[in-house]
Amino acid sequence: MTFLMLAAPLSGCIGVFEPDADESDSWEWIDPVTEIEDGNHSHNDLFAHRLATPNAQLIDYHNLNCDGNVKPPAELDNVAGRPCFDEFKNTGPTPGDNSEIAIEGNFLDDCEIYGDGTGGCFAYVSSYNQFEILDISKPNDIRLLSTYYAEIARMIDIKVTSDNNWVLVNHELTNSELDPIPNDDDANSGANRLDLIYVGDKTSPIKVAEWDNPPAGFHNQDLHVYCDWEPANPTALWQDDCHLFLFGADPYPEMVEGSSGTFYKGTQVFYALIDFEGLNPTNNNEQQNASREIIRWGGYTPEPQTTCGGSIFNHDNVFFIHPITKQKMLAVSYWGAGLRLVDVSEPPQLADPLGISWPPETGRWLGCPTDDAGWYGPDGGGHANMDSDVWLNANDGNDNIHYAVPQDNLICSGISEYDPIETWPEHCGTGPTDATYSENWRHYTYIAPEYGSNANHTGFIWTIDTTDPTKPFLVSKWKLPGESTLADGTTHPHHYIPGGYIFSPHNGDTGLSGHVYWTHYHAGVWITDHGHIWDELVWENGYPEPDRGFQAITQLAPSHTLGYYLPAGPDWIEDPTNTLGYDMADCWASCMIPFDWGLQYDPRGFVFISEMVSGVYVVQFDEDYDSRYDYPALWSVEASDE
Amino acid sequence: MVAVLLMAPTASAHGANTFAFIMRNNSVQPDEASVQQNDTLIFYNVVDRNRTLTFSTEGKNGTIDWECETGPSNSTTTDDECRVWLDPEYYNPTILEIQISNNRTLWHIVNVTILLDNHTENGPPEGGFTLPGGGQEPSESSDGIELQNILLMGAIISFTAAACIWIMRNNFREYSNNIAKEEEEE
Repeated sequence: MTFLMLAAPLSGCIGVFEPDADESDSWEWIDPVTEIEDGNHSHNDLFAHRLATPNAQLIDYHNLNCDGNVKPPAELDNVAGRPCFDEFKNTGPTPGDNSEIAIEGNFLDDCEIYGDGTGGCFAYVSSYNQFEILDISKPNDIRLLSTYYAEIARMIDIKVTSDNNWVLVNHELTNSELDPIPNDDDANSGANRLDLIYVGDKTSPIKVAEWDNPPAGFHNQDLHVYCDWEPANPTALWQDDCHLFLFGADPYPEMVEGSSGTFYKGTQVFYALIDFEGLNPTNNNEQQNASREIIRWGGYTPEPQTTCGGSIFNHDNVFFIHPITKQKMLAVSYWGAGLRLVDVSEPPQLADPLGISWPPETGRWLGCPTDDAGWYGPDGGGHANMDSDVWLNANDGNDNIHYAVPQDNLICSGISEYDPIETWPEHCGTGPTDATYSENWRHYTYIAPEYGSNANHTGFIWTIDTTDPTKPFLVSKWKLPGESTLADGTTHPHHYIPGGYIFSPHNGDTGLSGHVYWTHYHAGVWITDHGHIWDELVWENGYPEPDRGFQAITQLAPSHTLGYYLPAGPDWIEDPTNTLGYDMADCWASCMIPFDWGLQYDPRGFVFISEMVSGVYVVQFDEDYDSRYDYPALWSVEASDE
Repeated sequence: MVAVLLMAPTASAHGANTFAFIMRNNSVQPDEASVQQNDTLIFYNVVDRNRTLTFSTEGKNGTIDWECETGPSNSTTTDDECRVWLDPEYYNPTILEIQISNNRTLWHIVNVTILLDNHTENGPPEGGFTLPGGGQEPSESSDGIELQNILLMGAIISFTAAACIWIMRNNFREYSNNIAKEEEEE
């Protein structure tokens, strides 16, 4: 076992900071990405992919085996979940086909359970036919609490309300031309639903509502409970002080639904007249049905003149509250139409189902000018001076904006307001409201593309300064480091994607002080540091000019690579593929490990990774360690070897 | 995870299988692109005057002459758009030279490279969906129905023939057995 671990870095594809035999503190960088499969490398060689930079520590792992059974009793299918048992953790079989992960809880209170029974921290993983709920209060001892199964697939996104009581999952139609299964012809092509699941009892999730959205459902969704919005004419007597809104990314936008003569937009907002109390499973059907109404309340699609052409397609909506303007916003990924910041602060009193005037766009970022004048015009700071042909050229790592994640808070020189004030640099002053130094507190939104294949590039992670959301501008960009070797043996300045999405960026999350985490499918999870961007920009006139944006910058700041981690089964199990029963033959998107779909950052300093075949990994990078939340790994390879 | 696998040297589709061009005052964005058969091109006119688009190309069933006039920019209708679906039944992989005119005067040319669509689709959404250009694709396309009819008829004929042969053989066997029995009895 130990030999395998040491030998893995030398075996081809996977690279690490390889330990130097002479100096234990220095490591030689070995590129972890190999595009070409040959006698020296197989993408299916799990041990060749068990690698990480030395600052990444595996804290815990769960293969998401619930109770040893693949499916629940028939009466629970698509209706209710079933409790799981600790003794099945990391035993076979491993269900697999995992996708998005969401986490919620009182992390900064270390997931304390309060006197009224609230509190705690939980992770929710969508897994095609099912989703799982885990207790992650102790990152080094995560526990699977329950599994909800639905024979009708496919659940690929999952969100949860901040009170950890309600889960929203999609059932998206798949195998359509828009979103094919790359590696499968499974006839189970899903449905077109959003399902609301009550998870107040984490061991017994139960479905309480479902809505259809023909023809394909939603590809992604987010939600927010408004407790500061009051409809003038309440449409339901049971509405209390809070109101649930859903934000769906419709994979078949107006061109499809126009068949009915109605042109709905790509980003669709719904007001769910959910009477949470009324949906209580203990109520009868009549009471529950009265609580399930959902109303189309708004819609957004970029106006054509605000693009420079290409494919205008809504892939994802991420809700956030801007830390300066306090606007409730969506960071929307619109493929060729780039990043869109949409203001959903104040839902209108009357539904605007066609999105004629709500929600409005606050700002946008694309690499090309999208106006004749102003911030987005040729001389404006809100683009990267690219011709439309360049911006829409995926081969240069552009276009295809697939995921956007904004920071939750402001950062200044690698610190945030969560850091002790005595550690703040002088030029951060007293904080974001400092009379002199407030400008040094910045807000960034990170966006990245996705490519099925790309002969030249794997794509950039773009850092967009969104401190003023009406004037976003580019400050940094990053790609997977290293060169590639082409089939003819020549070197190529970028890594590339031979097919099957293999090294494409996918989903990401942010840390508190400028760290950014992103999954790259088979290239694993990468951590980059964006905390010092404002210090490292080179400005034309020697001082920051955010009101001129990109035009005032002569050199973008670097996004610093801190490390990577490639999940490849638990280190303490000698042959996880067989021991845990990894399904390496009938995979949804890929039968490779790793193939990382999503991740979430626990502000206590841990990254929760959803690997598509093998399960959930808890990883801590040394740079994120916080002594207040000391959860060392409880496993050791040596112990298991013995 | 969204996209159709595609590599192209210039601006390229994918996502929604539509590719947009923005016709501004003095420019078209982008002014060249690579798309696939089966994609839809959408030309948005964002200025306050009409424009006319034309192209001529050799299709699979002869010459295709296409012309479309857009109205002035108007976000409440689709009159300011021109759409063309590159139906693989009619369009070959080729380069389209799309001419854009203002007041019958050639204003701009957009070159669109149509790549072969070798993507295999596993099936349309249930209930069908609206194709670009306004047509409604049924759950089963007419071509599919014709093909299915042919296959169904073939299957019926084959089954009938097999049944006839089986019956005939059984009858013949029975007839032979009867003759044999009669001969034995004799």
